[in-house]
Amino acid sequence: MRSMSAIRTKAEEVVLETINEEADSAAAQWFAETGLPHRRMEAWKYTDIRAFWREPLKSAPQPDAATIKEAEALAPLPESKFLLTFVNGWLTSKAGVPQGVTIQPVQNDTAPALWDDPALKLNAVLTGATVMITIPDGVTLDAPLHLNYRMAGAPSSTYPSVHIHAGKDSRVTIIETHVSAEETYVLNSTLIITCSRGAEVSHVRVQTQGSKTLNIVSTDVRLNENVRFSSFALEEGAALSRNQYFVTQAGEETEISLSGISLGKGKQHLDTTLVIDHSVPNSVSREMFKQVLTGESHGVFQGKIIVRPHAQKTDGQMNARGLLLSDDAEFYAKPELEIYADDVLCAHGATAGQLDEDLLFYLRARGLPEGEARAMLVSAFVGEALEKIDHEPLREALSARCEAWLKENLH
Amino acid sequence: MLEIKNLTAEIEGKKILNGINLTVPTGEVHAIMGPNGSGKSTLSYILAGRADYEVTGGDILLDGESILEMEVDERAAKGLFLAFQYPLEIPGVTTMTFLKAAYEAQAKKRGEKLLSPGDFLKKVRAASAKLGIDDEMLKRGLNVGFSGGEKKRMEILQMAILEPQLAVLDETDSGLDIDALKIVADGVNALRAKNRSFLVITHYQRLLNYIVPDKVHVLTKGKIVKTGGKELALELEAQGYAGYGEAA
Repeated sequence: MRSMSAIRTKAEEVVLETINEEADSAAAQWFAETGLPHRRMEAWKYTDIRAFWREPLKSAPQPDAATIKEAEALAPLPESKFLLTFVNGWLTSKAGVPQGVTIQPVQNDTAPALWDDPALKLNAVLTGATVMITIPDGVTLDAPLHLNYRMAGAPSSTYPSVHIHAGKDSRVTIIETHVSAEETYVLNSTLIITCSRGAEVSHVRVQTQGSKTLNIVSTDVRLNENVRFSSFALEEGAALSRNQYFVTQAGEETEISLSGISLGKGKQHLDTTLVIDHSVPNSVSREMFKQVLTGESHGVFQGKIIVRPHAQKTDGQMNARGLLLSDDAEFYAKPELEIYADDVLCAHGATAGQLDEDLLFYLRARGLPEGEARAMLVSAFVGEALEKIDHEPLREALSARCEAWLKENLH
Repeated sequence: MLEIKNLTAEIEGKKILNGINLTVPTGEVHAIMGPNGSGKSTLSYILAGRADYEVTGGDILLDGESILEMEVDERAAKGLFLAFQYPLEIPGVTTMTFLKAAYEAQAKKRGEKLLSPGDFLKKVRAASAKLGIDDEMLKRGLNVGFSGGEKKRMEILQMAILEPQLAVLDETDSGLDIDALKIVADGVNALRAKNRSFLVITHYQRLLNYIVPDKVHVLTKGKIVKTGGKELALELEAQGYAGYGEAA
């Protein structure tokens, strides 16, 4: 690795300068050795950030009023009343914070990094303060907590970090939206969600970044006993997007559901990568990801379920499907099961295919023009994943977004 | 009125239809009977416009107009309906959504005024009730998990809603027990009308006890070899297709 890193790209040199070698020599050394994630790292073999990130981009400075104004014009979804807005990675406003919920910047988040991943690590060394949000025990939030990330102004790179602590038996819906202007930006964000005993947390991410943005988003979820956690992601924007999950199940009787839809067009590269680590018994995990790929877009799905020796009675099912709607679209899937316990029920399936010609004929024989018939089948394909969203208004909003995309991109 | 004139067709270079001549006047029910491999299903697919088959000669006229150059959905909008031998399952598209989309696409194409959503729902409910299809089935994914009989009833429901001028029934009796067959046949008979023709394709005479045809045609080796009244079906049932150069 050391020999490889001797040649640094311009973008890497700027990142290294940003790390500030004097202030944080350990981080600087780590980055000097590792560099940006690239194809020779197993987990990044389909998504070569080093090759893609060519433009040297400094960390975004605190945004001025004009940049904030520009950022506010970008609106992906109706906003929740409980709203935290990040402009270029900086927390610029908070509204509707419910009583009892605390939000404070923490210089060194004490949550230890559980995963050795270069994107997580890069965020850790370059983020400013981590925004720590604490939902007290027993509290049910009546409106979703909306983390609204926006990038605007001059080209830049940003490294926001948020840690949500959901107290015992709390109930919370978290929305993350990612938008950016039509400039070159890099977002490398981390969201840590710690769920205490009995918490029910649902998380919905909507990524509609501008078409020149490089989007690297990591979600690190830690589950204690009797937790129900679900996450859904709509990946629609960005030139390149890596949406990665690291789920650690540390208590028994947990239920995990991860799902999402990627809608690719042009030359977009959309990567969903997840690891679920079952280390204690009696838990259920379900994953369902659907990718609709048009033009020359590339979709990637990598999913790994680890079942450690103690994690008996684990019930895990992972499913990923790529729908290729053009000759030049590509879908790479790498599902993996790593099972060290003997009494478990685990399965995975990953398929890539085209629309079923027989179904198309059936619909057309009933009078639907070809475009409409195709749209109906694609809509049914993604519908199965949309059903995983519990929060009804969100499900409807995302359903409408998908329909609009299909209308625009299928002919 | 359907007119098929000296129609020849092949698939992957293999000749399947060898000059079919057939006229089904408006308001009549004609049956096509034939052994396996005689070209019955091919004929139904070609009528509907399936692209896998190549029409090498002849013509198909609906209402005096050639439909050979028309797209599948244009034929449907012109009033041609094919009831599938094996109706497909479409997970994620409810029956109701499917019916509405099909109805609206056809009406739009024909430039007709659309029924209000309320009136459309009433129409679907009334037609469903006659076929023993409950509301729950309308809300489920089309044909998903339905029995063979339920799927065939769904085809008839679609026919009732879309009101075609020509309905082609491709082996609608296959896989049905006698009770299911009666329900389906009653559904078809209820739709018999002066302005509608039917082409009933079947291997067995049994269906024709319930949907009594005006004429019966025998199809073997891609050609109509005999035409007669409804009694021809009984004759075939008794003697098989052996007399027509085919093993039974």
